[in-house]
Amino acid sequence: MLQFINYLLNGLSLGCIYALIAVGYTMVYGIIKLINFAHGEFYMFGAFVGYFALIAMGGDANGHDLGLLALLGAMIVGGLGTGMLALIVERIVYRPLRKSGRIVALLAALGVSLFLQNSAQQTVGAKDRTFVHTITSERYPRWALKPEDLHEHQVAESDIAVVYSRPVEDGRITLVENIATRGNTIEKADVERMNAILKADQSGATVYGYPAITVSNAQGLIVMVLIMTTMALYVLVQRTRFGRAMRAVSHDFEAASLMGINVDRVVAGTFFVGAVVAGFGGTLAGGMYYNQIGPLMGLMPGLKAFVAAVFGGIGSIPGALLGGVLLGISEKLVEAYFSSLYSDAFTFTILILVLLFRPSGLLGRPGTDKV
Amino acid sequence: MNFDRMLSFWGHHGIMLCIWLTLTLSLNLINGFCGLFSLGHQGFWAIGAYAAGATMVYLPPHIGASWIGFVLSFGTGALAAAAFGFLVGLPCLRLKGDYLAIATLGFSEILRNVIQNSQTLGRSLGLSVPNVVHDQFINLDNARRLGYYFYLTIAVVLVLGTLLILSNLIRSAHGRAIQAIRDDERAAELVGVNLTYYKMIVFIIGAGFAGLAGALYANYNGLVTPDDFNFNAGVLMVVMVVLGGMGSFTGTILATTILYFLPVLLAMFLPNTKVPIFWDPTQGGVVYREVKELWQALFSLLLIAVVLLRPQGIMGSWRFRKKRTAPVSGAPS
Repeated sequence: MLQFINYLLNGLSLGCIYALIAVGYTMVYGIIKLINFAHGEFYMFGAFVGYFALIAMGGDANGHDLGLLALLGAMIVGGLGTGMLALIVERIVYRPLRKSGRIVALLAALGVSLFLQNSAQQTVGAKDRTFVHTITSERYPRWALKPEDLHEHQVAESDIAVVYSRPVEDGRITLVENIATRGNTIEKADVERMNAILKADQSGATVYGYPAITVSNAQGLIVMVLIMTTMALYVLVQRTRFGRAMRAVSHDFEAASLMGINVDRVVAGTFFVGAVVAGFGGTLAGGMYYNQIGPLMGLMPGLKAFVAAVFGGIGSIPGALLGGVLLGISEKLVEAYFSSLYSDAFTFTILILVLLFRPSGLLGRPGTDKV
Repeated sequence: MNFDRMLSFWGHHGIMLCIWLTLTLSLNLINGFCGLFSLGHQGFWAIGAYAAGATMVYLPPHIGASWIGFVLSFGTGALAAAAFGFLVGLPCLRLKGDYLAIATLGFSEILRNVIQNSQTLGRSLGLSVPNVVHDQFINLDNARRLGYYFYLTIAVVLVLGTLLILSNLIRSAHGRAIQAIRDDERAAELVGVNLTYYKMIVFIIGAGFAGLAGALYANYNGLVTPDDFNFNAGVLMVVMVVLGGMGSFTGTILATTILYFLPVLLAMFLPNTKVPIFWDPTQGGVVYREVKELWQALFSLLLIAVVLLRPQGIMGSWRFRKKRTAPVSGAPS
């Protein structure tokens, strides 16, 4: 049971990343019925913009703690950069094709996706790189333990770890050293390791005990960003003039333009908002989840986020969020209880089943998205 | 260039071009002539290659790795791919347009995932297939030469056969039914075209030819890996078909040949000069790339340009049209 809850929590953070990408897919599809294959590449682009923003702040893969503010700053820069890219792509490629068929637009989207992948490979290089270090992953809740209370041959009542920091070239880096696992006997070597760390480090090294279920700060951050984004999107779509225009265009493109809504601006705005959210997702995933970025990082998450959008009901923003979270969780559960190798097959099986039996998805309006 | 080097260069590219031609011609039947926009042709190719490879590897050696196995492998490749085409076609008949594209893509990704985790098929490292020509004529000095002649002949026969069968199919009454489905599904159904039957036929035939291409690829290349059949391979096929024009075999042949040889020729003739294209402090400042490495980015730009400027492709006989936005009242959607 405890294990199950931990899997759920793991799946939740993956699901939040899928959800952040799926939002953009669903918004664009809701408005111009385009599967924007390049959306996964927007996410990749966001990750790289965030990465270079952190590099510019003096970060390094093995460097000092840049801190939460730096990461959030990079996330916003990454999001805005991706938004600009989406505006350019929409203006040059998608707008002239709006009157063509959906398959033509799909091809153009494939072209844009390939172009972004290939140019990324040529510019930043084909190899994956480790993301800039910003904050060290720590687990909560936790309580301080007195080092004197820990002896050899004693059975550990909880997971035990020392959190300490070490000076590096231009600051300090936080490190976590696991000492013992719940239920195991504490060995002599463990105590010696702990004491060595405590002796070497005078700046507040602390021994912590952990309960069976913990949440890491990375998970917390990802979930928080998703919640904030959801709230912002809700306000944007339901409470602003632009949101009303968006809903109108999504409901009936032609009628909305006849009512004097500047459709071009609404479509561009939708691309912008979707890409900003994908850019957030890219930086967060690069910095806090995968810790690696590369030119092809958008391919699989992009396809999976599309599955999430279809699952939740394409065109529906709450659907994309729900679909993303559910997909992430079920993927992790499949990995945990069935096989870690077949998660891709699982995801695409879900896609095909949803397309066949409930094409409108969980929260979609039935009958509106048929050809 | 001496004769042997020329033979291995043109022989290799000739065989690979023929494989790609078979793939794109059969894809054009599905995408171009029947209007079922599939993004999963690489899956059929993969099934054919792996079925053929498995035939050669897992039959007893005196049958498998011999001429009997070689001939059998083409049969199993085509049959397995056709059967998979049937499987994919079955659910996909209910889907249209971009949904169909996504579903076929989903199928080929599932397949690739399963192959990647299959011990019998060699996981991600791939399946090594015995090379009949080299094994049978190992005592001949010119086994390599003979190999190229042999595979090139088979490849050319394969392409010509595919072209002959498909273009005859298209010109027949069946072909007109298939094209009627593309032009207007509802109207075709009203005049008595059996939609289910023809869509299945198109999927099965298209997949079968892709399976033959896969069997040739497995036998010639001697190694098949799941990565050969990834999403980008499928996109490349679609791009070739689209650039050539959906529903035009001439266009497909032209576009496939051009797109296949473009990188080959660019690699031969482009200078090895490096050009600065990016500035990246983590790579030590200005990043230089060789001109010939940039072709892939150019190629995707070409795709975008063609879609924007000439959506009917080089030789397209059929223009993409905007679908009716409002359904006819009372008609089932």
